[in-house]
Amino acid sequence: MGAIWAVIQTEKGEPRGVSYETIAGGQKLAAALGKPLEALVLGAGVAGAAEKVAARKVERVRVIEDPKLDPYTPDPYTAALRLAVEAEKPDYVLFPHTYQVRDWVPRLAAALDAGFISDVVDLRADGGEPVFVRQPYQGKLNADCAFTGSGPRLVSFQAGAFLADDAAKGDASAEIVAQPVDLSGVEVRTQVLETFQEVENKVDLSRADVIVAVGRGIGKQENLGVVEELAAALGGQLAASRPVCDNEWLPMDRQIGSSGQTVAPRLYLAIGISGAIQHLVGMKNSGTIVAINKDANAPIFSVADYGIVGDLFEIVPALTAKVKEARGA
Amino acid sequence: MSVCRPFFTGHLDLEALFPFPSMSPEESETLEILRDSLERFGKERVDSRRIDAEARLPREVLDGLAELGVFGIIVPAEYDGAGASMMFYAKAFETLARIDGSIVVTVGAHESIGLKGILQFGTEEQKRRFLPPLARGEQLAAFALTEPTSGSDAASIRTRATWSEERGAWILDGTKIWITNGGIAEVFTVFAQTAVEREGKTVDRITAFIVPRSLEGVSSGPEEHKLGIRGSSTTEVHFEGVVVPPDLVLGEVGGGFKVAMEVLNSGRLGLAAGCVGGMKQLLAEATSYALERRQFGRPIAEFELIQKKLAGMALEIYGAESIVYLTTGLVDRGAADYSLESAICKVKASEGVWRVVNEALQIAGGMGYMQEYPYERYLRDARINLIFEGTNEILRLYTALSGLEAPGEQLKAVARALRDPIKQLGLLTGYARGRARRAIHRPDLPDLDPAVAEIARPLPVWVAEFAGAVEWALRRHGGEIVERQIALERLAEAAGDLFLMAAVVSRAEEGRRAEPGPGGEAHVTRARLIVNEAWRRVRRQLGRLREYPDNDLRVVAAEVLASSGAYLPGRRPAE
Amino acid sequence: MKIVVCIKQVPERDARLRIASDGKSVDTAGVATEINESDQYALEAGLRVAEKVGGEVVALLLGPDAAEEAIRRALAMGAARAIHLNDAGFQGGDASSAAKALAAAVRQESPDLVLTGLQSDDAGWSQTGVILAQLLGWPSATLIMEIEQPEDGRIKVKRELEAGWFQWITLPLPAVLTIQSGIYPVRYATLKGIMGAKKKEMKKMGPADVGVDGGQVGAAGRKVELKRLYVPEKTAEAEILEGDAATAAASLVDRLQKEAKVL
Repeated sequence: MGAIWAVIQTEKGEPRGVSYETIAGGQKLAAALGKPLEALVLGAGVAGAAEKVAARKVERVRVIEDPKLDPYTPDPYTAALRLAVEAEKPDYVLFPHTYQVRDWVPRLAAALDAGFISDVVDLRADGGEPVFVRQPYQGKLNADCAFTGSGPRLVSFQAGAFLADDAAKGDASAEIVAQPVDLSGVEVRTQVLETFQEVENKVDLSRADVIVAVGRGIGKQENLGVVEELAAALGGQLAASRPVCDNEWLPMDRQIGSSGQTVAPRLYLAIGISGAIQHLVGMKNSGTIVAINKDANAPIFSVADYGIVGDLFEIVPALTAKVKEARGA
Repeated sequence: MSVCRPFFTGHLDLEALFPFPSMSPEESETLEILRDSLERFGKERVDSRRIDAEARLPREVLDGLAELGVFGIIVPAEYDGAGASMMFYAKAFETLARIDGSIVVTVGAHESIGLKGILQFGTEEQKRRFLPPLARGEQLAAFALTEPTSGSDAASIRTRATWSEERGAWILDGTKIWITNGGIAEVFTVFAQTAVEREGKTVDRITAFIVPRSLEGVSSGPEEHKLGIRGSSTTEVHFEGVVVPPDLVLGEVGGGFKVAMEVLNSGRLGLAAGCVGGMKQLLAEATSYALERRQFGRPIAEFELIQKKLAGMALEIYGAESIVYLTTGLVDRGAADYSLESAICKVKASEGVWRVVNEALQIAGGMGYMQEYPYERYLRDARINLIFEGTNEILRLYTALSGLEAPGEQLKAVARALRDPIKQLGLLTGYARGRARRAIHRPDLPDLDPAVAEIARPLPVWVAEFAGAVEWALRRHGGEIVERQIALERLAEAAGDLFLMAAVVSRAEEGRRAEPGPGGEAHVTRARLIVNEAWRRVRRQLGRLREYPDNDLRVVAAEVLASSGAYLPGRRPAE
Repeated sequence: MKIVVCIKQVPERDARLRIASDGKSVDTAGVATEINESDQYALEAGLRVAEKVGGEVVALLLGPDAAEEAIRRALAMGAARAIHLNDAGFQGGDASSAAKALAAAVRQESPDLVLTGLQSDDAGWSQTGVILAQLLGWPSATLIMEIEQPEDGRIKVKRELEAGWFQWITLPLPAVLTIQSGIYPVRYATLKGIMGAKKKEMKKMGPADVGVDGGQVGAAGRKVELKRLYVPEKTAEAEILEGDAATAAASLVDRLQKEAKVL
C-alpha cells in the first residue's frame, strides 16, 4: 500500500505555515483511506524544518537535501520529486497551492504522467474513491473531482482549506530519513538574478492569521483609527473592501476581493462592509467570519458566523476593550 | 419607400415595413467586439463624474476614442473610415451613450452632423481632402447653423457670404451660437445667406460652406456653462471677413437649406440611437439598484410598483429601438426620404429617455437626488435631447405639415378639378374612389404569425381613421392648418404612435420567425403591451382633434397672455 | 521571432451561471463570453514583444465552434493568424489532455516563445501552461509581470512571488511563460483592427491534423474526472448577537474564545 506524502514548502529553512495546512489535509485523507501519512521536505539546509515537521503526527519525514534546490527553480525540484516518487511510489502527493507549487508541480505531473487536482478546498472519502472539492468559475461553483486510472495522484490545497492548528502533533517526534536522489545530471535552465521586494513593508494579507477589514461604512479616512485599534488589539492586519481603496483611504495592497487579494485567515472581521460578491469571493473561505454592519440585511451576514447589527462607531471601541480585557486575562 | 408618409393617405407601405431589418452577421460580430472595447474603455478610461465637474473631456479620452475608430464609423473605407451601415452606426452610438453623455454628444456633433454634409454633398476632392483626418479623429467637425436670432427658424440666419470678384472668393461674416464642438473642431459646416438669381431677381438663399478653422477670421468664444453634457464643448463661433475659396462651397450655391435639412435628418436618427443607449444604461443601473436596495426586509425589486417602473422602462426601450432600427434599415436600403421617421424617432426617443431617467431616479429615491449617485447627472445630460437638432415642438409640426403635403396636394387637385370638372374628371373620380375605398377598406397586412396578427389588428384600423382625420382637418382648416399647431401636434402624435405600432409589429413578426420559443414570445409580449397603449393614444388624439379642448386652451392662453402671466381667473391686469 | 499565445474562451466574469442538465458542466446557452482574463494579458505581452523585436503572434485556442469569437477578438487585437483546435475529440478534457493537444500544435509551429495566461477563470487549474512546457521539454516560468527583450537566446523576465516579493530570472528560449493579469494594460480591439481581422487566417484543426493520438486528448486523455458541478450551499445565516454595544461585544469575544477558538 502506497503512502500519502505531504510536501513541505520551506522558506529560509523554515516550514511555511501553509505546509501545516497540507499536513492537516493529509491527516484527514490518511484517516479516510487508512494509509500512512509522510512528510517530505526538500531544499538546501532544511534539517531544521524537517525537525519541526517531525513534531506533527506523521509516519516519517523524508528529506531531500541538495544544493541545487536553493534557490528554488523548477527543473531540480521537478527532477528531485520525480525521482523520489518513482522510487517510493506514494499513492498521493499533497502540496499547498502556493505560487511556487503552481510553478513546478504541473511539470511534475506531466513528467510522471500523473493526474493533478489543484486548488482543492475540501475532500471526502465516503466509501473508497476520495472526492476532492474545487471551486471553479472564480469560486461561484463547486466541483467534485476524482482521479481516473492509476498512477501517482497529486493534489494541492487552497490556503485555508485546512487549518494549520488542526495538524495534530505526534506522540513522539517522527523519524527523519534522508531521501536520496541524484540531481547531478539535472540541468538548471532557470537562472535567478535577483529577488527583491517591490514595495517596502508590503503586507501579505494571505499570510495573516487575523484580518480586520473595513468598508464604505467607515465614512471617511479620519475614522480609520477605531478599526486600527481593534486590529492592533487582535494582533491582526488591517484590510479593506474596494471602495475604501478606491478612495485612497488605504493603499491598494490592503484590498480584499476579486480585484484585490484572496485571503482565508482564521478570523476575519468585516466592519462596515455590505458584502458585495466581489468582496465575498476574496474572503469567504476564512475560518471564522464576524460581520459588524448597521444594515441587518447586508449580504455579508449570509457568509458570517457571527454578526452584530448596529453602529460600528459604538461597537468597535467596545469590542476593542473586550478583546484587550480577554487577552490581558 | 416610407413607413410614415403613407399613413396620411391611409396606406401601409408593406415593402418599407417588412421584414424588420437586421445587420449582416459579419457586422454583428464586428459590433460585438467593438462594444466590448468601448465598454472596457468606458470603465477604464472615462470618469464621468470628473468630466461633469470639470466640464471638459480630457485629451486622452478623445485620443482613445479616435484610436478605437468611433469618429469614422460611417465614413467609407476609402476615406479612412469603417464604412459601416447606418444600423451599425446607431448601435455603436448606443454604446457610446451608455458610457458618457458628453462623449456621445461630442461624437454625434462630429459624425452625425459635423462631417455628414461633406459625406453626403461633398465633391470627390472635398471628401479626399477633409474626410480622412476627420474619420481618424485627428480633427473634429462641427455643424454651424444656429444664430442668436435664428434657432428653430433656420431659414432666417443672418450670417452672410458675399462673392468678391476681386478676390475670387466668398467673404464670410457672422456669428453662430451654441455650436457643439465649437471650441475643439477644426472643420465647420457653416450655413450663410448668399445672393442668388431666381427668375430674374436677386434673392437671398442659404449656401453651405466647409470652413476650416485655419482660415483667417475664424474664432471661437468661451465655453458655455450648461445644465448637462457639461464635458462637451459648446461655444460661439465667429466668422469675420473669412475668405472662403469657391471650392469650399458644399453642394449648390443657394442649396444650403436642403443640405442642412438632410444632414439634420440623419443627425436626429443618431441622436435617437443615443437616447436608446441612455435608456438601456438607466434600466441596467435601476435594476441593479432595485435588487440591492432593501426596505421592509426585502429588495425593493420585489415590490410591484418598482416592477411596474422597470417593465415600463423596458417597454420604452423596446419601442424606441423598434422605430430607430426600422428607420436605420430604411436608410441602409437606400430610402431617399426618411425625414418623417427620423423626426419621430428623435421626439419619441428623447422623451422616452426623459421619462426613463425620471423613473430611474425615482427608484433610487433620495439617493437618486444626491450627487453621490449618477442619476442627477443622467437627468441633466438627458434634458438636452428634447431641445437640440430641432426642438420636439418644431419636429412635431414638421411631421404633421410634411405628412399633410400629399393629402393636401390631392385636395388642391380636387379643388382644381371641381373648377374644371371635365378636364380633371379622371383625377376626380380617382380621388373619389380613393375616398370611398378608404371609408370601406382598411389597408391590408401581410400574412403574419397568428400571435402577431392578433396584435396587429388595430394598426390598419387606425391608419384608416388617421387618414380620415387628416382629411377632415384639411377640409376644416384649409390653409389655416399651418396656424393650428395644437391640431398639427395631435396629428403628429397620432402618426408617431402609428409608426410605433407598425414598427413593433414588424419586429415581433421577425422575432417570432427568428427565435421560436421564449425569445419570440418576449417580442410578442412587448409588442402587445405597446400596441395596446398606442392605439388608445391615437384614438384619443383623433377624438380631441374634432372636440372642444383645443379652442378652450387657446382661450386660457389668451387670458394668460393678456394678464402678463397671471393665471387666476377673474383678475384683470388693471387690478 | 515567432510567439504562440494560448487563449481560452470563458464566460464573462459577471455572467450568471446555470448548471447544465448533465450536472457536470455549465449551460453555455446565452452566456456572454470573453477571452480569459490572464490570456488577454498574455496576448498583450506577446504583441508587445513581437512589436519590439519583430515577428508574429499566432493565437492558439482549443474550444468548440462558439469559441471562434474569441479568436476573432485575438486577431482584432493584433494576432497575425490563429489556430483553432476544434474537434469533438478535444472536448471534455482536463488540464493534462488540453496541454497535450496544445503541445502537438505548438510543435508544428515551432515558435521561439509560448505565452499562456496564469490560469483560466472557468476551470482554474493553473496547470496547462506549465504542463505544456514539460511536454515540449522547454523551460517555463509562471506569474510573469515583465518581459525584457531576448538576448543571446535567453529571455529575462520578472516573476511575482508571494508577499510582495518579485524575482528577475532568465531562461533559455524556446520557453513557456504564464502571464499574470496586470502585466501591461491590454489594448482595445479597434474598429480598424476588428475589420482587418476578417481577412486573417484561421486554421481549424483536429487531432489528426496536429498529429496527436486521439486517446491522449479530450475526455479520453483525462486523468481527472469532474463528478459533479453544483452551486455551493448557502451557509447558515450568521448568529446575530443582540444587546447594546458592550453586551454584544462581550458575547462576541466569548464565542470567539469558546466556540470558534480563534482568540
